[in-house]
Amino acid sequence: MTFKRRQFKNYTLKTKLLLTYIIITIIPTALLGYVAYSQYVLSVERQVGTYIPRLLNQANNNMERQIEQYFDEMNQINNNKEVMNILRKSTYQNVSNMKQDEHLVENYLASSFMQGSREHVIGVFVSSKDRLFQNSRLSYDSGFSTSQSIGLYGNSYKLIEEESVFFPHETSLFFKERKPFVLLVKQIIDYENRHNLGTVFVALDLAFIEQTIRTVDEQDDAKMWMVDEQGYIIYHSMPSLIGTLDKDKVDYPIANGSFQSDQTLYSSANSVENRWTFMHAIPVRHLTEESDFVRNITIIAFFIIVVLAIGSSIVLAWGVAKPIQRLAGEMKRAEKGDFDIRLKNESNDEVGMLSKAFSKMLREIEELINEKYEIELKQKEAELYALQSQINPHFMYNTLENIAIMVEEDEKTSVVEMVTNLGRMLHYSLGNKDQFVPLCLELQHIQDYLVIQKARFEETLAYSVVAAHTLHDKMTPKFILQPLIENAFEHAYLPGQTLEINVTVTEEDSVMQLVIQDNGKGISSEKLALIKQQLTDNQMFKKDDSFGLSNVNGRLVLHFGNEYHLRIQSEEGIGTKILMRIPILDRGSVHNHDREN
Amino acid sequence: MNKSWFLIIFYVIASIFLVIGCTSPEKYHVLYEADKVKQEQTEKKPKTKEHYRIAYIPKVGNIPYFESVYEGVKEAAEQLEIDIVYEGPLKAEAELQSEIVEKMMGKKVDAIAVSVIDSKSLSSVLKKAKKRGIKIVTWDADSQQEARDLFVDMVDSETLGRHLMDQLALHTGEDGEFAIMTGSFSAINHNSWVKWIQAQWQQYYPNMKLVEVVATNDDPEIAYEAARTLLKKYPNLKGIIGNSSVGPPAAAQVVKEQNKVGQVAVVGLSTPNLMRNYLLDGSAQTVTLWSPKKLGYLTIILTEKILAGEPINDYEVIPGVGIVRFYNNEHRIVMGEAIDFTKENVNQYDF
Repeated sequence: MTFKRRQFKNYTLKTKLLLTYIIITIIPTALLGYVAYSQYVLSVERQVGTYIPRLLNQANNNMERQIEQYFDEMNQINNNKEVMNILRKSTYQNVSNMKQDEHLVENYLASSFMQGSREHVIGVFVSSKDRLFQNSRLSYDSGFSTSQSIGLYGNSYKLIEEESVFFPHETSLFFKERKPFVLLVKQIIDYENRHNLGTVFVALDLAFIEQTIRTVDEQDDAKMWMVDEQGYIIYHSMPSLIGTLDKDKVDYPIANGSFQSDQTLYSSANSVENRWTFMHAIPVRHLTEESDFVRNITIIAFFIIVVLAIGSSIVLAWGVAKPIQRLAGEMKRAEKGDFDIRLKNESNDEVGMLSKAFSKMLREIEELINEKYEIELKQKEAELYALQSQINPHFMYNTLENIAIMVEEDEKTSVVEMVTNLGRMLHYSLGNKDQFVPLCLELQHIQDYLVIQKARFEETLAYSVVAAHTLHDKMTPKFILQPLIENAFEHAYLPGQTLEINVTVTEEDSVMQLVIQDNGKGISSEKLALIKQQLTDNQMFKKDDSFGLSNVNGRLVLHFGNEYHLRIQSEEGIGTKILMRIPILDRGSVHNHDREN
Repeated sequence: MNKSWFLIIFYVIASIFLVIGCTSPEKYHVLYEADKVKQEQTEKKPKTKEHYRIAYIPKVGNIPYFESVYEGVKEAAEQLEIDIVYEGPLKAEAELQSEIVEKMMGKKVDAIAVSVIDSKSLSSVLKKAKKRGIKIVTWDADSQQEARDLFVDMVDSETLGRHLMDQLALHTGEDGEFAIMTGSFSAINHNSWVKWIQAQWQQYYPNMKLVEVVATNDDPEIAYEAARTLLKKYPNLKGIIGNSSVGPPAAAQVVKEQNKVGQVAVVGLSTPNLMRNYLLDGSAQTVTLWSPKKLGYLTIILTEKILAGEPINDYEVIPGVGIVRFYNNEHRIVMGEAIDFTKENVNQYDF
């Protein structure tokens, strides 16, 4: 039990609901149907069971009445003076006298028992004082060597009752072809002299029972029989069973009424006067034939109900369980960090409310996350920007020292140019705080820078800045090129060798492509791998030599996404090529934040 | 929640199996049992086994007719296991019979079956007995109706009386003088027969003449003397009717002695045994009687029925007797028809 319960506990909600539905619909329906049907069958059986014994009783009464009539007729012998005279005689002087009397009595028997409507009488016998008078339709065997004695009942035998009914097995009488019969026996009493004169026997064909019984029930499946106290079958609707024993007789619980066994309904009625019992058996199936149609309909209806119940319970169970399951799935996804969940707003029930609340919660979480993320982004941007907008103090120092040398050498025009360039650079970096600037401004800035550096490095530096005209007014992030060129000066410069820096800006596949190429010492492959790793990891703030690279890369990724990261191709001793891609942006399409910090 | 659910389901299933299980092992399941008609019948039987004591009192103890009756009484008593207390008056005198009835009352009998000699004198005694709760059945000769519970009559007295007259007329050629020897003038049955004999005579036989009605007191000797007196007194007498069993033998004997066989016809009520020889030698022509054995038998059977409180019905078939008539207003039973005994059939009867 507990085991089962634990198991049940572990079933899914759907299974539980399904099971419960089935239990509360199918079991009561089945139970109800079963009880109703069995009660109906029982009531039919009760009805038939009270009705048939009554009919049997009627048949019993009819038979008793008929037998009574036969006994009455047998009694008529007493009124025939001639016959009584003969029966009272006991001795004869000669044979002819005796034969004469025999003839007389047998004529009497023939006329009063064998004629008219008494077709059921097979034979009539009168035994008296060692004489036998007989008249029989069929030849018979009395079981004795002579016809002198028809059985046990001669003159001297005194019956307990004046009238008796005997069944074939109780007599030694056999008719031709073993014709079944009932023997009515009556003593002939000389009422006047108070003597027993003899016995009269009337053998009745069983057809007379059949005639009585036939009125009871003419159904094909019904069996009817008549047994005596010992279970000897006197009559049976199946003639082959006549004369056999009804072995179940001892088990029959009652003699008057009805009982049921093995789908058969037995009815019985005991004769009041005589010793027989009428039995009637009919298969219950036969009685319930009509109700069986109803039963079948009920069974079909039951199955339809079952199917409907299962169907509807499945629908119902799903209706409850499915949204919950989906909700559970969505929750799992949310747990893994996917907030892109839009639950369908299905219903207004508890589950709908739950999923709505869940959706709302997710949205709020997402908003909060986004908000926090944007704040962080802005901060990072601002920091990077701030870092980048600073002009390297070394550069300032070198430039100012250059200018100082130039002033000493009195190269006025060069000084003016240098100061102008420097001023413009300072102005650019201090000037407007837009994140995005047209490409031409950015190019101007790096050109100013390169001019200043050229003044310093003289022949050891060569540079070119080439940009497609169409791209001049396209927008690019501010300070995007200068860190890379600074980087080239820092790492690529080889003493005694002219450093060439080429900046090209082209449009390729609707993307602005900026390439900074130098012919410096290049980067060792190990170092290159490290740098590439750093770039993809976006470790921006590592204060090392590749700071400029990572800063630029960080900003590009921040603005345009991961696919716009920096690409570096480099070979030791040959040079380095840095590729940068920026979507082509018009002036109006970029949104410049005001920079508070 | 879960637990209770499972308990409920468990109990439901368990109870279903219990119901099914309880009904199946029985081989036969009784649906309906009819009323016990049979039992009532069998219950009555033992009641009759009660040993009743019945006093049997004839008119007179030692004549063949009443002896025959007593045989029938004994047969019934044996069959029904009844104690019979028998005492008959030595002479057919009313006082003697009254004394016997008184004596019987002291013997604590359940019923008294009596053939009444004198209706008037005995009725008072019988009433006394009846008051004590003793059932009174009269047979052969009746008392007053209030004094008894049942009267067992042998034949219808009108039919018998008229028949006796017819029989005599048949043998006298409906002509001449005749006399009646009655039992006693106090016995209701004798008087009634005489009345009906006379009625038939007056109605149909104008050529015949009733000369005298004499009483015999059921005494053979008195009867013999009476017959002799009649023949002497009326030499032209052509017939004698005796309406008590001693009458016809006495008459026949006298006819035979006086060689008047063939001249004087003798008919009446008597037993075959008494009359056999007279019938065979022609000194008597016909005697009529019922079976006195049957009468005794029937009387005891009916007395027992009354004691057992069983009803008696008109046209009832009494086993060993046949159909009897019952007149409820008179509380009277009529046993049946009388038998005529003649030379031809007298040998068939042994009473």
